[in-house]
Amino acid sequence: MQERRWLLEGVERPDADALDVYRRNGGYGGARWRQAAGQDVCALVVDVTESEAGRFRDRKLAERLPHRLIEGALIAAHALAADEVYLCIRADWRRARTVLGHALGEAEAAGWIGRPLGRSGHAVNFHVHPVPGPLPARGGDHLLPNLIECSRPEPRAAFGVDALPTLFGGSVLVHCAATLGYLPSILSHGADAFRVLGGKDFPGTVAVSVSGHVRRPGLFEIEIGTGTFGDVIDDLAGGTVAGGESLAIFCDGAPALKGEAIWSAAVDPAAWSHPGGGPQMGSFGSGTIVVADESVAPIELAAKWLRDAAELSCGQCPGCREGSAWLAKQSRRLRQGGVAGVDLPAFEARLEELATSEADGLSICGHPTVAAQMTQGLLQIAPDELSQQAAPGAEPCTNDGPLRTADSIHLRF
Amino acid sequence: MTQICQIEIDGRACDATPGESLLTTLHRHGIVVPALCHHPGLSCPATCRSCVVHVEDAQADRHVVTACNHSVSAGMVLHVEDEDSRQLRSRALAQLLQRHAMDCPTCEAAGECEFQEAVAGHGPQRQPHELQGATDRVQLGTRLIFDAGRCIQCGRCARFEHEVSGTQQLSMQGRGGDIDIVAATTGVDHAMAGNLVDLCPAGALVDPESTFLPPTWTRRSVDTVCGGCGTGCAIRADIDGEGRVVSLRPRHDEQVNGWWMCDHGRYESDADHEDRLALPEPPSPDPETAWQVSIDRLKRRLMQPRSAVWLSPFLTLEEAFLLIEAAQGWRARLFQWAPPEAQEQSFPGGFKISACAAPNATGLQRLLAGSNIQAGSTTDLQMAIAEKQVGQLLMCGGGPAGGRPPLKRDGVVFVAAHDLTGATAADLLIPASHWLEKDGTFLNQTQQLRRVRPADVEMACWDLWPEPSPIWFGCGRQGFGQRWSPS
Repeated sequence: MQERRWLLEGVERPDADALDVYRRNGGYGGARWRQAAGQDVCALVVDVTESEAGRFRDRKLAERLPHRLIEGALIAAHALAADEVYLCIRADWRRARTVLGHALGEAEAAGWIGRPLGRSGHAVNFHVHPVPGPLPARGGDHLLPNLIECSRPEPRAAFGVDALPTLFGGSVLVHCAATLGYLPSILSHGADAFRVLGGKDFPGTVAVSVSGHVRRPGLFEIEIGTGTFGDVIDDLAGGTVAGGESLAIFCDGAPALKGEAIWSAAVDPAAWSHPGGGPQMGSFGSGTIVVADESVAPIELAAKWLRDAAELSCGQCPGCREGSAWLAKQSRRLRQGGVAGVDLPAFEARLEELATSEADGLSICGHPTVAAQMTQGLLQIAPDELSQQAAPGAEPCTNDGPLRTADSIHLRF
Repeated sequence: MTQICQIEIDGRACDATPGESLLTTLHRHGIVVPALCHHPGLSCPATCRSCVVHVEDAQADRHVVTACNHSVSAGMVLHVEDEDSRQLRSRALAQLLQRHAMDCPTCEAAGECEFQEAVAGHGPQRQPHELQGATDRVQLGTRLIFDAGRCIQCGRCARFEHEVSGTQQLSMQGRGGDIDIVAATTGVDHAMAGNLVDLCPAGALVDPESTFLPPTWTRRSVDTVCGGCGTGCAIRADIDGEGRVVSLRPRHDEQVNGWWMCDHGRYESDADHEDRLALPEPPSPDPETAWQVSIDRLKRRLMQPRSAVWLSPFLTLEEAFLLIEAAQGWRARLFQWAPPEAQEQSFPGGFKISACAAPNATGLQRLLAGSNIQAGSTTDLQMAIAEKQVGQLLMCGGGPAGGRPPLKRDGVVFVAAHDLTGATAADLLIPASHWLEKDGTFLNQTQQLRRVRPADVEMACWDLWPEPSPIWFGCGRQGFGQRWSPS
């Protein structure tokens, strides 16, 4: 076990040797690696559920590169001296489950799984655990152990500031699949080869999921810092369907972008205020772009977003449960217009409460924060429309055409 | 020895126990922080977020933590009553209040509602959001109603069903704003269902029979022990302004019952049974002397040869001791009866309902064994009666009707019954005290001494007889009861 701990030794250092750094490519849980380095971890739980809206790279990873995912999980399990790996995968991804099952069978036949490996003699068992989805966004850390224990799909509150999640009484590390996918290539080609790509603080590549009103939606792996969102939309995704200006919805906590902002915003965490401390306000998140056609009203999109957020809240924390339901109702009224109108200051205040609820300790996970920040971003780019819709007697906010409504955009978490 | 460390709460240095939850420590220092999803007898999900406080770390950065699931460490600096912390708690409570039915004036829980207290002490000064209270009421069991409009989705009931009773007849269903408490198709019919009413912090689970009781703030309570079975749960008897026991609720006793009690003990104590004996029978022409006449008659008869006393496991240790002493003076033979054995019920949370339906069967055995006194069983008594060795018999009851085993009493010249009701055919009937009216001690099945205090029920005989247990007069001792204390 001691021999393998070198894998964890570098986690405090901000360079590419440390696994911790790779969270900035989209994985969360850097702090978890630091905690895990000092604790006995009985199992590794790999989050292949991907509940963030508009993101689909974990599914593609499981479908197209299952061996890489298994290798990454195996390396992490050896580093942690964990005996079990739970691959929590969405039950509705039948293809991904089948492919991953085949790949696990191959790994088992080759003697990598379930048998003592090399001189260490450490054997790792893999379990594929189908989970219902979609789940509350960013709740996975403490939610997946609940699901494995057959409890409700709700995130658990951490017991103590630095506590790892627990599974059947033992500490576990919950990790996203995409980040683990980098491990095999880093270990085989060396950290330097990985560091050549990308920037100094954020080396490597990022897989960007592009969907919505684009000609060629898909998953594109690009080198960090080599382009803007406009480049991704136009060059890789083939531009918008209508050919006009696009409204890029940058999911997972970032504001919506419109017009010039799309062309100036770099696909680089260093350029964003979080996590890189850059000039672009907002969070880089996990690199998810949902593109809306210019004819789609931001308010309509915000209403759809809030409705989904309210439906997918697990309902544990009152702020998220009541706040998102109330906001969804109000945004529906905004969208529909009508005689009564909407109390806009109260609406915005409630949105702000929801956006800060995780930081203020009023919610266990980041689901309400993601939902509210995204809505705030959408409403910020259309302040005039917002006050117009909120006024008594406003007309319903709808658009015609098969692709020109918010419903044509896949926004499910 | 418990280790003590120093922490700081709102600028005040305080002693605390490392590892103890912040909530317990705050309560110990007299600082009230609401905790609506937290119950000390259940797991702690920290979902209501109404107990948030600020903790300072070594770099003097402030973090928000939930007091219920974070523990004390040495040197911790807590900010509880500052404006920021109060504001956060107020926000959390405002969210919970949004869909809570504001029917406090007619709510059964008003006056002892945790949510009401929390909102009054920490809630918003004005409600910033529109309220959406619903008023659906669903009958879940014979003594359980669910008022959905009051539910704040704290999940205590579902966790109780999962962790303590293990029956899972109530659970959380749905997600987001549609989250709801749902019951099994059979309803909630297990033996610990009454605890759900105590657990609910917002009056959503109520006992329908409590709807028309006097308000909670007009009641007073007596700490006593349940006499429903051999477990001896610590309970609190709530008494209304007229001196009637209106409800029994569990008290915390980690060694015996935890935080719970069973429905049998809670609802089926027949202290106010309609056939309850008020005066000795046959009736005396002068009620004022009825007791003295009857007890004199009892003593005269039992002093004769071939007397027997059939002891009850519902007697307190003190009553049994005095009766045994008196029986020895009368040279009466002693027998004891045991209640019919039922199946012991164990629950996953560790709570047990004893197989023995009497509170002091173990105590009676121990008393007899300690005094080296031989007492025969019911079978022995039956044989003695058949062999004409019993001329007069004092039968002790005190338990529920039908609890005492049947006995063929042919050939017994005089039968006196000391019982709650007049169901027994006897030459002399003397009213007994219910366990809710006794002052003494029981020994439960795990050999723990349980203190029983009179819940000050208006017992029929008290008008005429100032002492709690008339049997003591029969034994020739007076003035022993109310001044006696085991401590």
